[in-house]
Amino acid sequence: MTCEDAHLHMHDYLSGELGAEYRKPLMDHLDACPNCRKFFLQTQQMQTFVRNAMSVAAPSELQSAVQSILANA
Amino acid sequence: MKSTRRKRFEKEVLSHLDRLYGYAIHLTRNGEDASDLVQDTYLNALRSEKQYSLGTNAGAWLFTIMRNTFLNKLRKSSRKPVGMAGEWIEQMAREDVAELKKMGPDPGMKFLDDLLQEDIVNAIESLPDEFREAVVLCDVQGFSYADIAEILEIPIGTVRSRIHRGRLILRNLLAEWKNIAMGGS
Repeated sequence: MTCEDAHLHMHDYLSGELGAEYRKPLMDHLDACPNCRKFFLQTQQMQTFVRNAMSVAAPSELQSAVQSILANA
Repeated sequence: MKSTRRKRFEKEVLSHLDRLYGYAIHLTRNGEDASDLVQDTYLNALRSEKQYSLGTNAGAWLFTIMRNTFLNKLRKSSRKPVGMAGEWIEQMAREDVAELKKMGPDPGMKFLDDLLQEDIVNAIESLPDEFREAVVLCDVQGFSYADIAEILEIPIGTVRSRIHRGRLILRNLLAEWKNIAMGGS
């Protein structure tokens, strides 16, 4: 697997979309290639940070308003 | 007295409230407008209730309704969305491959450690719409490529490409900001 292929596959892997047949070749490449491994770990860390930073809970007033919309329909 | 179908419908759509609010904040960039958009989305979902099959993909269905509701409002108010990606964005995505080739062998686990949550939100918000939406739907909301294709009404290949490039641009933006924050050039 080339570094360019590894890049394509690692994004699909992080999206939960990589086919099972590509997982082992990708992991083997990441084990063998420090640059790709670094890029993968950084991108994975960024994905976690983004998920944590952007996740919000609806305010209680909005929850009540939506429940009221559904109840009165 | 509510029917069993109706009760199940309400349960299924209510379970997506937090995610819908998050997406609404993202679309409107304003808490008050986001709350209005969520309520309009539920009203429109109720109007289209018969089109929804219980136990299927309520999340993608509601997100599609929310996005269409938002775009209709936007058209009526003549407010324009943030512009599409320019050449600089394409350049940023391309530079990533060049940067990769220069990297040393350290594990790179501390890439974002000095950035604040606010920096990350600002970086996401600064992405052009087409990349921002795809990255948020995938990395924040956890939708599959197929669901995102349905919500954004674009081919799966385009979804994949926007997510890949969006992440690259975001990564470069954050690396640049971190470099500035740490006093680098």
